[in-house]
Amino acid sequence: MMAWIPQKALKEWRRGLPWLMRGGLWLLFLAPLLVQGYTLYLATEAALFGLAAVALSFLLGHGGIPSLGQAAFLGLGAYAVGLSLKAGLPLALGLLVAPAVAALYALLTGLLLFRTHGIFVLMLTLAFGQMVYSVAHKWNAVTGGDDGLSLQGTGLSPTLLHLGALGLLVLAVAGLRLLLQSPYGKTLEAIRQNEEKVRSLGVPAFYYKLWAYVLTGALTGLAGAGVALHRTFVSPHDLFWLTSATLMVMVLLGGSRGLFGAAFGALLYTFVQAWVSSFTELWGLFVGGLLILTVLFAREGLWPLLERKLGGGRGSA
Amino acid sequence: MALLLLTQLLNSLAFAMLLFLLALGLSLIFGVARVVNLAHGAFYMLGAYLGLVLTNALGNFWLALLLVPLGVGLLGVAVERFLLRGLHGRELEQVLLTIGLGFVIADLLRGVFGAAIRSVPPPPELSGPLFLGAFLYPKYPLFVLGLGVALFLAVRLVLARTPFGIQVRAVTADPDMASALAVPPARVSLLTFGVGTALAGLGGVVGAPLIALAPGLDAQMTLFALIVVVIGGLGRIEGAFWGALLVGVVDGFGRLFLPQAAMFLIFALMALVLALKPEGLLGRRVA
Repeated sequence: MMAWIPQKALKEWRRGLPWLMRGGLWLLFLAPLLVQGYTLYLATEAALFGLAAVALSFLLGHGGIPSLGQAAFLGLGAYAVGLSLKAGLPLALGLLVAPAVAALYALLTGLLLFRTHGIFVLMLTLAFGQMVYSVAHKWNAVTGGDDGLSLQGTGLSPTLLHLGALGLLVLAVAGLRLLLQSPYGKTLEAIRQNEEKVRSLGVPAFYYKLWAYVLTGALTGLAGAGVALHRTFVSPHDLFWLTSATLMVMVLLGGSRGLFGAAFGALLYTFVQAWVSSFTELWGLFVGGLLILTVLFAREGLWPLLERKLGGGRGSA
Repeated sequence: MALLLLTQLLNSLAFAMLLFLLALGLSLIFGVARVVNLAHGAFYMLGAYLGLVLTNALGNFWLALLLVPLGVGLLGVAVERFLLRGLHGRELEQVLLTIGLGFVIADLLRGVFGAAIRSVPPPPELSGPLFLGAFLYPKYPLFVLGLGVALFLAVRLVLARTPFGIQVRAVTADPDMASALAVPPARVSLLTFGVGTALAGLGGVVGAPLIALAPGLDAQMTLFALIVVVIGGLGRIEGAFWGALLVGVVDGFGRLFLPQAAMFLIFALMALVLALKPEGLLGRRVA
């Protein structure tokens, strides 16, 4: 295939392709600014969930830690910023409190989580996540229970909010990619591949995993704060494990490694979901079905697949 | 006061037996197929609704009690054969698939039966109270209690004595070695998945008169089952049994004395077990 293209040009094309695709992705995120309205609303949502998905991608694809409790971080961040604003704190402070609260929760649960391994970690993230959900749901005095929590007078324009969310997303992808190049990131990858071997070299794998989890928690908490500001409302139902599964779908759909896939998956999912929800209310059916299809047919995700197709069959990925 | 405590103890134990049915299936499936079936609560709910429909259609609870686990078990076999087998050895993908499946089943049930809360009456033979002198207690929870204990003993016997039980234990202990000794892991795994999901379905039929049916119950039951196996230890039926008893009693008395924090007590229990004995109270370390 593509034998009519000179080899040299093909090689250059392949080398430039990842950059072209990344640029294209950010353009896709920026384009809705021209249209405004509901499209922009969805794009901001996609950028914020993208931030959470990128964090999960870092944790899952590179740290090898499967988490089904990400909704708890999102929810803690959302309630933290909502309650800070309600208490009269300035927005900037609220945006600091949100990741701090989520990171603290990550630290406390992480200390227990990483005493176990593999699939048990997944079960426990799920269990602790549901614990946060049931607290948010039942603790009426603080969270407003089933009625949720309304945020007033944040005074952010949709354009500003979108640029902020997108800026955070770009920073997170760039920062985490840098981190993955560092000795810490390389060690984390090594732990994912063979923890026993790494431990026998004297590396405290427990703490490497714990810090990855705490970092992920903080980023996801920040994303949750963004979602709360964006929707001006926090509902306890967003803390349900369906949300964690949705993030998992985004990550797997785009591809769990490389971080760009997760951002792409979030964008794709958000718009597809908005389209689907115009003719059905059975959201769980949609998420569940998509999860099954992704697992069965798109194992490495669409982003690497796209890269390979555009690169003419054999990709570098 | 003593009577109240006794009543609550019996309630807790009946609920514990329900949890045992769920945790037993989860544990068996994990042991043999290495799959954490997060659709377990959805299978429970499917069993409950099917039981409701069949009981109304046939006018006989006992027939439903027999047929529903069979149906749910067959569905489980189909799931293992057509969805999970292709992902053999890929733990994360398998778990994600079962979550997806759980959402699909739960949402389809909501689509068919609506979101209304349904309470199911116990069968006529078991409705009404039992008089023990001054003590008065409904018959149905006692039936659930008896069924749970009987099942625990029966499953122990099956695992210890029958050829199938020995195959299950062999595959749980070491699939490669079992395979080398002419035990077919794929078939054992298929059957175990069927038995495990059938147990969840049975739990649904049995549990419906105890716990009203409502959307979201599937997630709750999956969560309870997970907590039980984390506390008791995954891969051993004794772990599922004692773990279920512990969780049931803590939940029951928690609801009585600290209604606001009952769920929290269970999580605290789980955290405590994890901190002291990460593999569960009766668990073995699983590589």
